[in-house]
Amino acid sequence: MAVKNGCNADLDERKAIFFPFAGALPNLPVIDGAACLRSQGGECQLCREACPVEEAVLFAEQEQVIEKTVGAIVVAVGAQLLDCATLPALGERPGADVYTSYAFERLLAQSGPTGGEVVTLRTGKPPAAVAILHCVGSLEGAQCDYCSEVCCQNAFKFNHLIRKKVPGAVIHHLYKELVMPGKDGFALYRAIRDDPASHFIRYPSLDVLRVEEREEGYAVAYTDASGVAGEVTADLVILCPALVPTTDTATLATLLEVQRDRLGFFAEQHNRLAPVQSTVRGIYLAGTCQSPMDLQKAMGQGMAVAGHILSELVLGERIEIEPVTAEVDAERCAGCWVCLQVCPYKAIHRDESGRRACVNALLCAGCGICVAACPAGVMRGNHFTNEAILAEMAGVLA
Amino acid sequence: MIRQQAATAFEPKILAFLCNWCSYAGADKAGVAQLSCPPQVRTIKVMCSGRIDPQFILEAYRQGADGVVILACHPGDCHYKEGNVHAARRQRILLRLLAQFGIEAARCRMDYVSAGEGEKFARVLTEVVEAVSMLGPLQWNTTD
Ligand SMILES: Cc1cc2nc3c(=O)[nH]c(=O)nc-3n(C[C@H](O)[C@H](O)[C@H](O)COP(=O)(O)OP(=O)(O)OC[C@H]3O[C@@H](n4cnc5c(N)ncnc54)[C@H](O)[C@@H]3O)c2cc1C
Ligand code: SF4
Ligand code: SF4
Ligand code: FES
Repeated sequence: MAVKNGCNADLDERKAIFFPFAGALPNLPVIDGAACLRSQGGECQLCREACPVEEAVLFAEQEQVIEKTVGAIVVAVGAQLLDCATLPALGERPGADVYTSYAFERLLAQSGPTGGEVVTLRTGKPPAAVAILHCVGSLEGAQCDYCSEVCCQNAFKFNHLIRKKVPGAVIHHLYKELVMPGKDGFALYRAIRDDPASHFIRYPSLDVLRVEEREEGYAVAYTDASGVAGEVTADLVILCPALVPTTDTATLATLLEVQRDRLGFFAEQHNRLAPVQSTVRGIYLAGTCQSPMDLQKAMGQGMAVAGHILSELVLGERIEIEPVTAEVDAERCAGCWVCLQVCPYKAIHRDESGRRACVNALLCAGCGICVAACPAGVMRGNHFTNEAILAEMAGVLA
Repeated sequence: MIRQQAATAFEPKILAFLCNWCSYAGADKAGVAQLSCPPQVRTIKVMCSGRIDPQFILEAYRQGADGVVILACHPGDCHYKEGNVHAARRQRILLRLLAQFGIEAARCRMDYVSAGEGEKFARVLTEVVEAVSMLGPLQWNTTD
């Protein structure tokens, strides 16, 4: 039974029993329940018969929900590429040789549909010209009003590899901005820039781009940043779509009660002082779920998170709580829940009676926002109590 | 003539609420840079501008302050995410209330000073002292 291989961007097919991807851990084949003939009432057991180890293929295994109590949660669900299928710049229907950066990455891979050979699907021959569209969706509109950070690096890597595999190929880069920061970025860019086979065209917005399928390949029509119209032809077009939050980021954020930023990514607690902490203590963020970033930064964040957790959750040791926290005078709390609404850290909940507020000192960051907000004046800001502040005021104004 | 002399000699009392993470450090910065800051200002540190209860400000006037300043982290930079948003909202509401008592907006200023902005710290305080000096001592007006 063969179905489209999502791992290779649907460019080839795989079996109903398959290895998810080269190097997957654990390196075991899995059965795709939806594709397996048995799930459709069939009696097939070809895979079991082919397997030399008895009882290694288990048909009875079911998905399980496992509940665990944990001391910390790491969110590292990554980002996804902007869906390009509906972009007007691509016309009615993106052609066979219009690839997203992900799909092209698979075309380059040894384990990809062509074993790493760069050929067009239309002709089976190497491309004579390639157009790479940078910034597709990025730097535009309210939702993608940012640079996706990895695309230029990615595009120049593609350029480098295409030229190695197809030495005669000409490469057109259409970009809004070129961003190659860091100690290695410029060297790669310079090598591509100084190569006579690379051409650069700056376009102001996707509105002025049109990818059209032609008899002999593709044409990318544009109006460049200085207003001059032009066209390049290519046998293969690569789009570098914006990195956007994954489809289930919103659901996950609601489930965890952590905030998202204006773009929909998981919000860090502070962009400089606490970049891997979510808005809730004990829930950490690593990688592109927080913001577009390259591998190096994502790795750095992962390690920072591991460090935070290992140093905070030491077996047998108590967690230290900052002394500056809020505390409710439960006797006098009116249960108006104003504090619950203003706390940025979800540190306040209803107590067992459901009538009074209660602060979780572990989650409280001690900002005092709830203290100022409590209309009954019964939320106490430890170390910054009303009495202390008023006495201080009386002192300095005397 | 006598009244005029009294007016020029008027030294306002200003109370400034400083956020621990920005303006309190900004004050330090101003000090290290040896910028001159108006001596009429007395400071109170809070962890975040969001801790400032509008009642503190009313109490400050009651105890003789002629003006109050709230210095918070820049929008988007609050250490606690949104404390400065709450502070700004409360200050705007308070200004409306103060207007009903005839208290001028210049006596209750909110501004944003980061930890690096020693110069802005000194400038804002100087401006407040000048503005309040022009207005003269605070007089409660409860007749309308
Ligand atoms: C085409 C392309 C080329 C790139 N090239 C480069 C490059 O050359 N150099 C470079 O430095 N960077 C490159 N990057 C960027 C790099 O891929 C990212 O920085 C890196 O993958 C981010 O790692 P991550 O762990 O945050 O996310 P990911 O690697 O995306 O991992 C997220 C994981 O979470 C899983 N997941 C998602 N949702 C859930 C859920 N709800 N529950 C459980 N699991 C979930 C996903 O299946 C995935 O395995 C490239 C990116 C793209 C798209
Ligand atoms: S002090 Fe701040 S963090 Fe703590 S409970 Fe109140 S609002 Fe939440
Ligand atoms: S704001 Fe005050 S009175 Fe209202 S629920 Fe919270 S602690 Fe109780
Ligand atoms: S921490 Fe400075 S205003 Fe909130």
